[in-house]
Amino acid sequence: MPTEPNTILLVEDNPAHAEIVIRSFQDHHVANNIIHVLDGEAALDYLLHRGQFTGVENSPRPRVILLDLRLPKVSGLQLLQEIKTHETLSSIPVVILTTSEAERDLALAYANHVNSYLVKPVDFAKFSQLIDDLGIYWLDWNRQPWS
Amino acid sequence: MSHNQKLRKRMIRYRKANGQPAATCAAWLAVRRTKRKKTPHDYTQLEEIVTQRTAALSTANRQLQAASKVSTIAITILEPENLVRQVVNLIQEQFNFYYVGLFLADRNRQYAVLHAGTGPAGAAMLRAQHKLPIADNSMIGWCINHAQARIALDVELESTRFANPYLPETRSEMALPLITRGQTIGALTVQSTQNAAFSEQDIAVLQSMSDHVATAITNARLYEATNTELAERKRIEQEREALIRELETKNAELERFTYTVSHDLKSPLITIKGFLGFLERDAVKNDQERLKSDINHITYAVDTMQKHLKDLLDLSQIGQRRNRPEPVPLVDVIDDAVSLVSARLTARHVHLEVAPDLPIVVADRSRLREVFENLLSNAAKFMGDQPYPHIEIGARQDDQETIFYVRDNGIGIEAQYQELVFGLFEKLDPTVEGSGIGLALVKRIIETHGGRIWVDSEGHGRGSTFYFTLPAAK
Repeated sequence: MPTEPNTILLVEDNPAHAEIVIRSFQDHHVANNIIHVLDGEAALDYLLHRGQFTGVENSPRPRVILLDLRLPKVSGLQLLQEIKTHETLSSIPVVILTTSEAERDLALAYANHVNSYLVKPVDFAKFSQLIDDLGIYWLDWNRQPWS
Repeated sequence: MSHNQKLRKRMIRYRKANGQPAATCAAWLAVRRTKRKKTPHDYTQLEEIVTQRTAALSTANRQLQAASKVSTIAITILEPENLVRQVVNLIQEQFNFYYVGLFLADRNRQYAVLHAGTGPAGAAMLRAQHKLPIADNSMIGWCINHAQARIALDVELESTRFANPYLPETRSEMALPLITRGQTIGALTVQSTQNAAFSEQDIAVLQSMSDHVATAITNARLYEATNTELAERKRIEQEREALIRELETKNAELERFTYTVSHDLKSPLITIKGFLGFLERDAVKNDQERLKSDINHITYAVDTMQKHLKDLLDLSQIGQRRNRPEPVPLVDVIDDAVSLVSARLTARHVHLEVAPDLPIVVADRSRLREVFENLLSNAAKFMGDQPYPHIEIGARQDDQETIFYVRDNGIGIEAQYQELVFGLFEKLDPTVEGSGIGLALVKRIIETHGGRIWVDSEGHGRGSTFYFTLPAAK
């Protein structure tokens, strides 16, 4: 599977939040290829080259998946579970990026082998900082066998 | 020891055991003492005595057997009212009395209340709720008061006995206290059509039987009380369990609610703060295009928040009754709801079919209208590309309850999402207008009315049917 060094898959149903994330990444010049999908089904379609993402060259394997928890239809946790139990997808780092601080969500996410759990800060400066750190950590510092 | 000595000794022993004045015995012994030669006359006398004694013994034996039978059966019956009914009939049959009645002291020990009586007289007195004060002015009252048996050999002479019109043939009567654990719980009355029908000896036999009956009654009462208590405890336990389950459901619901609210109210805040941040930068850069977009995002988020707050307020007010539940003809409510969503129905060319025989329900009229308003507008909203949109409202009678339904031939709901649709702010399709409050509101209204709601759909493109129950008008 081809990888493009800076590909991030963003699974987020709230377009405004997606825009904040994407613009923050752009401001910090970290990621140049952010794929944004609105729900879990589209995310799986992307990862498995199905549906609108048929054809491998259209959907490079992401360096990291940013996943919102509260998604329509298939929830973030369900999607996490599917990815982490999938033969080839399980090694992709999944970072939960959510408004939820609920213990239950945290516990379930880690039980399903999440790689990191981040709560969206309400404060914009902090949000921006978080995205910057996130990009540097997962795209610069973090080593992956296939990159 | 000579034969005569033996015989004599036996006669004395008999007299002692009997306790009766043994006049005939003494007469016979006197005959023996004269040491005259036995004459045929002597033998006749002896035979008479033996016959008398044999008859007396056989009577005593019969009485003991009868008493034993009553006692044996009494202890096997565990239901108090059944026990006393059977006891009086048994005693009446076994002893061949004219009438047998059983009185039990009431809670305050003021009255002896008739609980069982034999024959038509008994039935009549039971119907009349016959009772006697526990005082010395009646045989039964006296008997309970003094915890002693009492015999009236000729009732006409007996001052404590009132003439009883139900039992005109009674000539003698015996009252026997029912004593158990040192307490007199009531008394038995046994009556005969013959004068002087009862002897002291009868008292001994019948009193022993009465003691057994009293114990049997107490045991049956205890058994019944234990059973009642047990049933009561079981009921309380079940009620408690149901309450716990209900609380658990409510708790889980509340948890989901808090979770949803915190997410849905926090979400627009993040948007507002985020785009305020961008706005500042874009203002510095004087990027008019982006400024406009930032402001749009902020405005939209503020509107979303406002809508959520209004929805939450609506939802919280359902708990507080707006109007008292009243008998409402369902057809009227549906008419009101249809007129409110008629624009949407007409726009989508929906053909609406309402069953003609809908019942009257007890409900808060305006809330029930909201239910149909939401279900109808929902059905119209999710028609998809159905060329012949059709909505059907009806009811069907199940075993216990009436089930109402709103059926459409729209896009349907896949099985795994059918429970989700009632969740707060839950939207299966984020692109569809609306805040996701409608069905949560409907569910809450139905539940505050004591009903249930669920959805059934054979899947995508197969239409949906929303079912709910409501308490029927009495």
